[in-house]
Amino acid sequence: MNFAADLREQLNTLIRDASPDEVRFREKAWEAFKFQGLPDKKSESWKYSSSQFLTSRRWPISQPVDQVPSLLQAFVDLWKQDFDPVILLNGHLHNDSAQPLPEGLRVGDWSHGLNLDLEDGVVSAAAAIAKSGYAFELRTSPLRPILIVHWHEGEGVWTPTSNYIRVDSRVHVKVAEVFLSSTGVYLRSDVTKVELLDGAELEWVRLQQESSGATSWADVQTHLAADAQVALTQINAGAEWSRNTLKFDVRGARANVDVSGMTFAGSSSHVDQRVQVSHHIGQTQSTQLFKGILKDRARGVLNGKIYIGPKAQKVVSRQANHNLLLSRTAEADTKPELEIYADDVKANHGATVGRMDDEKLFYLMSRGIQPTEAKRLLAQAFVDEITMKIGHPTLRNFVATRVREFLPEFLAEVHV
Amino acid sequence: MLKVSGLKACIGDKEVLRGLDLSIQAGEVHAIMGPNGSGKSTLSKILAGHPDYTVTAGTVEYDVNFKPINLLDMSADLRAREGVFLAFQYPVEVPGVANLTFLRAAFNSVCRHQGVAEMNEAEFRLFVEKKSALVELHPSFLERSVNEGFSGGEKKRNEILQMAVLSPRLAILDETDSGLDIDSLKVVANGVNKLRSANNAILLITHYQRLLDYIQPDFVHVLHKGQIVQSGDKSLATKLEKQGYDWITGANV
Repeated sequence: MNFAADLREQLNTLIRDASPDEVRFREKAWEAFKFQGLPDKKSESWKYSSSQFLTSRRWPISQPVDQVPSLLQAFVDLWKQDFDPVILLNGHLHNDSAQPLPEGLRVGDWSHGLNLDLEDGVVSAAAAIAKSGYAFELRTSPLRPILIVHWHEGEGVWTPTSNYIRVDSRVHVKVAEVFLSSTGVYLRSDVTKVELLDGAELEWVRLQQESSGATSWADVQTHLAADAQVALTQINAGAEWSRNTLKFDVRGARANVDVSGMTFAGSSSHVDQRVQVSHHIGQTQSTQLFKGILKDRARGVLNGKIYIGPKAQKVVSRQANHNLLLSRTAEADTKPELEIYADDVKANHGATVGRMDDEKLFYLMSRGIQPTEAKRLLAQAFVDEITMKIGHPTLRNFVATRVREFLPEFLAEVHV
Repeated sequence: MLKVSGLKACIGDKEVLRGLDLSIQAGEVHAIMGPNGSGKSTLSKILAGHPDYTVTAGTVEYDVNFKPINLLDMSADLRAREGVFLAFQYPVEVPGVANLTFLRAAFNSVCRHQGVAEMNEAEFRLFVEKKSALVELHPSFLERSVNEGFSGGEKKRNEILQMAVLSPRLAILDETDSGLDIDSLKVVANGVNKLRSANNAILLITHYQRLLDYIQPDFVHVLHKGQIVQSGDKSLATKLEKQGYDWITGANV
């Protein structure tokens, strides 16, 4: 059976008892998929990654998980002092009566579906069979940051989710979202729509720490109205193959996008980070700052696009990508794209690729610091710039702690 | 404490040291002087274990627990943990690593190696602030990235601060006086003098006699074309200052 037929079969099962909203969402995505098909190498946005991750094997949909695994519970317990936690087990919201769900959280919401940007056949396929992940409709500013934990269990299966966040006018929200799993080979796809109304502010960190055998794909679409602000930090620190698209649709005056990220990739893993900021209106701003540490035979791709429409005068947009290669066989591909139709704008981009500085290493070692520790200090300093940009102390501490935890292990096997 | 015998070394294809002999005992201060390109900095980097230099002949013995061991067999970081310290001629800037973090990582590495209890951050901060006063470096420098944006004088003071924190047995100061104004020179010299003891040795590498007015050496050596061509007491430095290097180097050509 081919991928399309499999997909349709899944879809038929899903729409059997679905609400009209849900059926419309799925059928629209299916129609788009049928029209688009899966992209091939000729498609510019699939130059460095192949859509074969969907078709290289059959991906049955993952089964529901009832119990929160102890490993996950320990993780949530560790952070629940600082956050209001939300747990998704194989895409399904886990409703634990002992831990009330944060305000504004809704289940089975498909209201975002009709204005989802179905950019290509992969997005459409992932949306067509997505489970309803989380849907937040935030009318007031939550008192505490929200921690959303996506947990995957099961070998050789696919967890597709679709999520939604709507932040009402002048509401401020802090979200940490983390993707974890028990070990294994699996596929996770994640389509997320974010709507920021006038003056809404979202500070958001997304931490992808899938298992080393995982395939992880995400498409995040953020829409900004006037005076809205988003600060998103994306950390790619797991999965064998991953592709992450962060799109920002700047539609309101004075809106501001600040997106940054770090990639840690080793062995033969592949990380494709895409960012696309579209300024449709003038006097808006965006910054992109991405850093990658790549080792072994890993490959890191950054495709950062800035679009400035004809009416978007006086836009200020910056993009930077810096990579540290820890082995000769690691590869960083950085592809800035500027598409500018307005004449009075500031847009710049820059990229660097380098290795760890021998003089700095020697300096640290000449003070008695072991080479492994010296490398860790330099790697930490390299990515700290991203961590330090995170404004909210709880989110910053969350990222700093997680990075500090996995960095020594990540660096341990490097042969520079 | 240190015995260098017949040391030959090159960087790339270029031979820089051509059979150097030097012996230093605990409690002594030695100064090595010499014209540019004579091999002074090469010697200091080889002693510290810089990977760019290749030793082609000779030995370097360094006493660890009163027994001479081959220093050249040890990695740079191990040498440092065994008490060898190089104050860099050009201290390296390390953006993103706070001076305090760096000093503490270094200090604790040495502590672990010597089986001494490590200090926690609060204890260490107090300890370092006292040492900073010794080189008149404001404590705010501890929060800044290592050497980043420091003036020439501040970098050199920071080197001596590191030396004070690590209290090495063999300190090698590579042109620590270069680029220093007279006030900084005095501060640095004063810092070094306070660290002088019967248990440790100092090797000053300098182009000018000026530093030796403030740090009195027991021995002065003249390095020329990768060899020590003349040794003496402090008066040798004074003579060099008056007569230049020509009377030695010329005689040796």
